[in-house]
Amino acid sequence: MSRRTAASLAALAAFAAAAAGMPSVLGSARLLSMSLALIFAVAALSVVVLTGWTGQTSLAQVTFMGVGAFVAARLMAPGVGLPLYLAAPVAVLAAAAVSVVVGLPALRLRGVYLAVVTLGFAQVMQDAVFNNAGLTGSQNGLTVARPVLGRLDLTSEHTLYHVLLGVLVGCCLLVAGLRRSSLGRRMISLRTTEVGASVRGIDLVSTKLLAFSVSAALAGLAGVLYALEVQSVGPAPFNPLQSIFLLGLVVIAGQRSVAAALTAGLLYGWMPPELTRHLADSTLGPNATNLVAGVGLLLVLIGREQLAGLAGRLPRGHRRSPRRLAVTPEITRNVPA
Amino acid sequence: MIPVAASVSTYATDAVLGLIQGAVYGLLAMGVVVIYRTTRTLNLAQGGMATLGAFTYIALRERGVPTPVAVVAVVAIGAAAGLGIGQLIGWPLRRANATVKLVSSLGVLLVVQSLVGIIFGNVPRSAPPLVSPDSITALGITVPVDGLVVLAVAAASAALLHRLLTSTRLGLHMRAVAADPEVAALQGVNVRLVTAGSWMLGVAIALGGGILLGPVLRTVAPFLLTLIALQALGATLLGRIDSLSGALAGGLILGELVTFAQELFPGTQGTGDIAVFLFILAVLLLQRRGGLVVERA
Repeated sequence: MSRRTAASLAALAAFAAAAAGMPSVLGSARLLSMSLALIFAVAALSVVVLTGWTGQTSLAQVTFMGVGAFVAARLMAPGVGLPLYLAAPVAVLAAAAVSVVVGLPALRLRGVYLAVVTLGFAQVMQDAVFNNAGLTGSQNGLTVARPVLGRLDLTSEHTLYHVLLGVLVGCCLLVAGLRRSSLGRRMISLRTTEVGASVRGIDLVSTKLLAFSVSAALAGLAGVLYALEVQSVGPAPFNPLQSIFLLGLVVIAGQRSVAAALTAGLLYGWMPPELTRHLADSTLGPNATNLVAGVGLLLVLIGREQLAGLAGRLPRGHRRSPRRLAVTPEITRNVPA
Repeated sequence: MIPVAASVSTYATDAVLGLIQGAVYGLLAMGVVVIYRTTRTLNLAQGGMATLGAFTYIALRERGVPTPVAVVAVVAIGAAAGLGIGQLIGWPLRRANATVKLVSSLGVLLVVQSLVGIIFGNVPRSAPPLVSPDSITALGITVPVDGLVVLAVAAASAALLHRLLTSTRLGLHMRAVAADPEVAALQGVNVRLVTAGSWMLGVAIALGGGILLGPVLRTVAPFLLTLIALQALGATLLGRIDSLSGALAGGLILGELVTFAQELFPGTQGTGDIAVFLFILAVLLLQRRGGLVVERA
């Protein structure tokens, strides 16, 4: 294990320990925002994989979360009555399967075109599926009953919080492992230039589809967790603007690392309730949150761009630069003048 | 699902209503194109800006401001906002990559959308009539007078915009920057001015288009209107986000598609959005590979 890996693992362990101790420091009153922060950190990981690594701009990540939440809620509802340990994997797979359908056109599209397609998909899902009582089974959203799994009593807020934390840490390890795998390197190689990646023998089709499905599976998992935490699933939390908000937070946080996802998740879970608490008019809450996120996002983008102009020429710190191919003098000499 | 007794006049009326709706989409889409051509920034906030325009207009009218003054005020606010966005966001990010530019427009969307919520509240409002609340009937087709006004305004705006781009110095410079910003700068074009001008024009069109959406949709809800960006963006794809006439044509087609989808499948939910989504997929995927869907560096 290299020193960097050890340091990352230690940081993750420190985060987990701090998060595990949080409820006793901050009290149970803020347990909901803390739980939501953990759930949205999982959703933010999905943005890191897709947008941070492969550079695909998807505006439908929270929609995949909605797919996970609705499928799980529907399967666990009294009519079907699947237990959580069966419903959750099915919901995660459903989100991944749906993402492949969206990912197929994405094979030919990049950048702004993909953004438009995913935005359209998010709107269709919101209007035609999530808001459709005939499909979801209820006008006012589905209620989700928290199960008791053996010794794990998920009806207890504290137990659920620690389960959420465990799942998040598991996802972080998974994503970090993926980043170090050959698939992870292939995903990264798509970010700068897809043509270059394919010239080097990377299969764009499988890499892109895998990126989409891994990312949507993470989002779907976040949706299942959300359904468990909130105990009711309606269309509102999964509207297209939420995906935009989440993407914005991930970009603010740095978009490429597990740490960025954790930061974005904390912002997503914490900012709305905290801003609302300090406002006289509670209806301002969501708007104030969006305003802060929007201004923050623009400042980060502009700031980073200004810095890139300066820092592009400076040495890159401890990062090793890739080995250069030596140009042999013979070849240079043999070139006709 | 298909109604058996739908008469010819129903379809004819739908065709005209679709045209009216499509004209507004086309106008908003042209705003997107104007910004994209010179700055390579796809303005996902176009719908949010239209919402801002619609609500500002309604608020002004409710305070007794006469229609022409309100229209001029809203378009002027749009131009000022566009100038601000161009100078503060567009210019610093001019060399950023496509994703950063796209995400910056998401930031603008978050700001605009929250401002609308803070200033006007998140409740739907009914739009006051532009000229008159009456309808006229001719040849069995009933069309609201305002709809015809919308059509005329959209057509006039499109013609003006075309004239601006083809026969003014600013238009010439905008086309030069669209072709190659660096070469344009070497030829003495003030790229910063052109960037600001494009944003001014595009955002002014967005806010003005918002005014026109009022009579078309009758009630305007902030959230729904923000998502009209999809129609505007979808319409631009027909012309590779580069052609004004392509955007207008795309808008008109979308207007018809949405209207007829709602007429033919009244029972299904989200028919309009499904129609727009299928249009987007069809346009993007049926074009030859490396043909229309090519991103310029």
